[in-house]
Amino acid sequence: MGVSAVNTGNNLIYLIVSALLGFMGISGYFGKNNLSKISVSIEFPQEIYANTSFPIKIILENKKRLLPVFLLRLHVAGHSVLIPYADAKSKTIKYINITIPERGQFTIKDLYIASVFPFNFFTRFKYIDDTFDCIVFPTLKKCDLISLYEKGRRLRGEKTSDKTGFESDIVSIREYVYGDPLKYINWKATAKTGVLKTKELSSLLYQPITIDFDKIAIKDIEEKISCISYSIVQLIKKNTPVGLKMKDKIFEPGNSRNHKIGMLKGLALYEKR
Amino acid sequence: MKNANSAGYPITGISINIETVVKIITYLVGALGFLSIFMHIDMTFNIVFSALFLLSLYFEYKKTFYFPRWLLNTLSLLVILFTIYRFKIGDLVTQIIEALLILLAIKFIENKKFRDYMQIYAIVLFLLAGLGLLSLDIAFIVYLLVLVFLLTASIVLLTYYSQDPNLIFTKQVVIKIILKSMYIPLVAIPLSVLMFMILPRTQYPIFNFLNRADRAKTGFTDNVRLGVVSSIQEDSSAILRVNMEKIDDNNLYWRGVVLDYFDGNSWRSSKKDVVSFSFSGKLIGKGIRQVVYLEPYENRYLFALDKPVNITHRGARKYDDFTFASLGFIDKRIRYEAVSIITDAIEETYIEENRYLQLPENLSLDIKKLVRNIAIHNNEAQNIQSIYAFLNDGTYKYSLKNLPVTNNPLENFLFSAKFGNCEYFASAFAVMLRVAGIPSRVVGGYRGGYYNDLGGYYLVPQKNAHVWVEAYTRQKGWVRMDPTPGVIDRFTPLTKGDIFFRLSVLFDTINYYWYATIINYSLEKQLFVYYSIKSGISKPNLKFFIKYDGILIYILIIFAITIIVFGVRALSKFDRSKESRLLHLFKKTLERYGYMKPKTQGLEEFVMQISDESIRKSSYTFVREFERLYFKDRQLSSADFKRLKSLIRSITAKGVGD
Repeated sequence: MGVSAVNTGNNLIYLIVSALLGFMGISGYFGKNNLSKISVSIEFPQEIYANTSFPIKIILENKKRLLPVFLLRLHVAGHSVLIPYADAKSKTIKYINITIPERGQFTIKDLYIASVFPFNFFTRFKYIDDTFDCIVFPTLKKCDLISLYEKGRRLRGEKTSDKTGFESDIVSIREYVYGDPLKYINWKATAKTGVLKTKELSSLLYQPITIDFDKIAIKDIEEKISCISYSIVQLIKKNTPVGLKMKDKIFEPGNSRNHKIGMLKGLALYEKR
Repeated sequence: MKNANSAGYPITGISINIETVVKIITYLVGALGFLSIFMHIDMTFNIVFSALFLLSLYFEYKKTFYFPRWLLNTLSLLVILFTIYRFKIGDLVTQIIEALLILLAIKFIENKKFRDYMQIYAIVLFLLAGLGLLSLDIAFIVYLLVLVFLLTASIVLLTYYSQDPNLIFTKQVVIKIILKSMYIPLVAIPLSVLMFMILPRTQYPIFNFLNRADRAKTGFTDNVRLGVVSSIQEDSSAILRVNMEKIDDNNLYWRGVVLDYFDGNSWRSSKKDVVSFSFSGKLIGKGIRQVVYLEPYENRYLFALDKPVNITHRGARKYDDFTFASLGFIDKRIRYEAVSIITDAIEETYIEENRYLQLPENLSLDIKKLVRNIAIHNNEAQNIQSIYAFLNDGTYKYSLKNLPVTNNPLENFLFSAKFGNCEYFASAFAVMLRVAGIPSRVVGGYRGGYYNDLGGYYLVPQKNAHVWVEAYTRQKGWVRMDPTPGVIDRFTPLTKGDIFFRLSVLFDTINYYWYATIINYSLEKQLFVYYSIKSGISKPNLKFFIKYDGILIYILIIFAITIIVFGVRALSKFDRSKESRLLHLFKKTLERYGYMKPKTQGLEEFVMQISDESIRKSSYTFVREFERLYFKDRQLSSADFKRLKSLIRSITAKGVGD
């Protein structure tokens, strides 16, 4: 059409050609602008296990004053998610499920956004320089190790903890609070005082177990780590305090969540650094 | 709290499939393409297109049946072959447009994919280009602008569609996407204007024949035939637009052709001597520079203010009687510059007396007798005045109707009918002068015109076609005489106050600028703009900017900027939620009554402080209702929004509203 404009000298065809050129030029600008002033951050869940799919939370912030984000595709670790529209000065949250095959430190670095906006002529890319780290815990693999420890633990019996629970001896008596089960009402004390009283019992605590990494006779190291991780998760689920003895690190037995994560982290990074 | 919606998906609302929106816009685009050219092509094609278009709409509605692609492709091929078969060089553009229109209709019938939509848009653009070749009308820019906005919306949505054909959005998001993508044309249009100005041009286009000749106006001829009133004198369309300073109405004669030979019924030119452009006779008077836009008509004379000494137009010739003509017929609108000298007389010491004293052989003796009775003086000038006075003493009336058509029209006019148009008056005058021995000739052209102050140009309509006389005396040379009575009132419109008239003047002004700036934009203007800017930069001179091409250009620029600013504001206003728009309105309303809400104050607290009871009560009603809906943490429905708005509207002070 440009040729015909020149060769007919018709200014109306010139108008069409200039409009087309104008749009081509401006589409480049809009395409570029569409990807600018965007920040992306990624949040991981607290527990990530290798070979198990987990969701990551992607927060895309459009910092532009006027223009929204159109039709943006965000590529993360081989996955992509489409963000069709995001207002100016807004945050968009998306989740995608990813699976990581290996334990250890995991870094998302090849993060990029792409868009064919505005006219689907070509795709524009922009890499996001930020990196996002997480530690992937070993794969949990069912094994017999746990039954071994269970046996030993049963032999040693249970002990009373100083926490309140519902299994062991009476620790104290307190005022009835609406919602307390009927069977825990201490009728004797109630009769004495004329006010409803509730028994407080202590909870039972199992004998702590310490897993010695080197003493476990599984040849394949990954197999061994997976097995130990499985055991730890299972034991703590059953409220058994677990400790872990490794070459350079000893975890005293415990059954808190943080303790579990600490041990799994240790296992995840074993001979990985 | 309401920002929870930042993902861009409001929870409530009607869902719309993107493809549906694309389809609707595409049909609009197709209809627009058709509308732009349907006047210019054969009716058969119009009917075929409309039928196929409606059929495709029906298919879209039914969504069950589509023609197989191979069948439609074959059909398209046949259309192309048919076009080649009936190929005629003269009307190439029309034929191509007709073929494109049918191809467009076939595209609509297809089960459309991304590619097909793009093809439809391309065809419509080509149709519009065809319109540009067929007609230079200002309607073109309207079509182009509408198309630009529609295509932007459509292609952006189509881009969405190409990414995921099953995308479904709520109505609000679709509207947002469309509105926000309107930023693109808003920025692209100024850039396009710049492109238009700088795109390379050539002085000698190769395919110029593709530009169809405009429909020439019939009317002005170089053969003034008495009694045959052409349609010209009832035709109020413009023939000339002349950009120049305003001058006295008495001088508004637009010279076209000089006629010297009278055969009893009509005047024509017996011979024409081409002279060099440097020939300028002995004209004494004020020089006036003009830029003339001449509409196409069926002859080749180039009009200019009486008496032109120079006209710059490619291939123009100058004759010794101060008329100009182009080489061929003027078959499209042209622009040329002219310089004229305002004077009543052309001094000439030698003329071919026989040529200008020629009379038809069978000229009535009565006329000769009549002249003998009138031209009784020894002095030529006095005789001229007597004859002029005779025709102007009120006996002879001007009329366009029931003109005497006989074999001796002049005799009939002078002795029995006693009414006629300017041709009768001029002929009678010229013939009578010749009988009296005074050389004379008839000049054809236009008279008067309306001066458009806004555009700074004279608009001369067809109906202002006029003939007058030049009489020769040895002392003065050729002197212009206009024997037709009451000329001036007829040729300069008096209905200046009429709203319709003013509107039509406004439209003509827009049209004038359309032709002057867009259609006639050329290599020379390009260079002119380039050098003006260059010298403007090296020698900053504010005057240059203000002088250049009238104020209308600046009005247009200001207008364009205003539109852009308001466009951006309107588009960004849409960003604000309904809630904040309501609050804004509420605050503005109360500010009118003098109550300003401090930032730190809560709504209810603020309302309770209002001293006027009536305002307080109605404001409180609004605030309660607003809060009730707002804290539901849902999007406000349109009905709620309207209700709240009317609550704000009902806030009035006692005594103010009554």
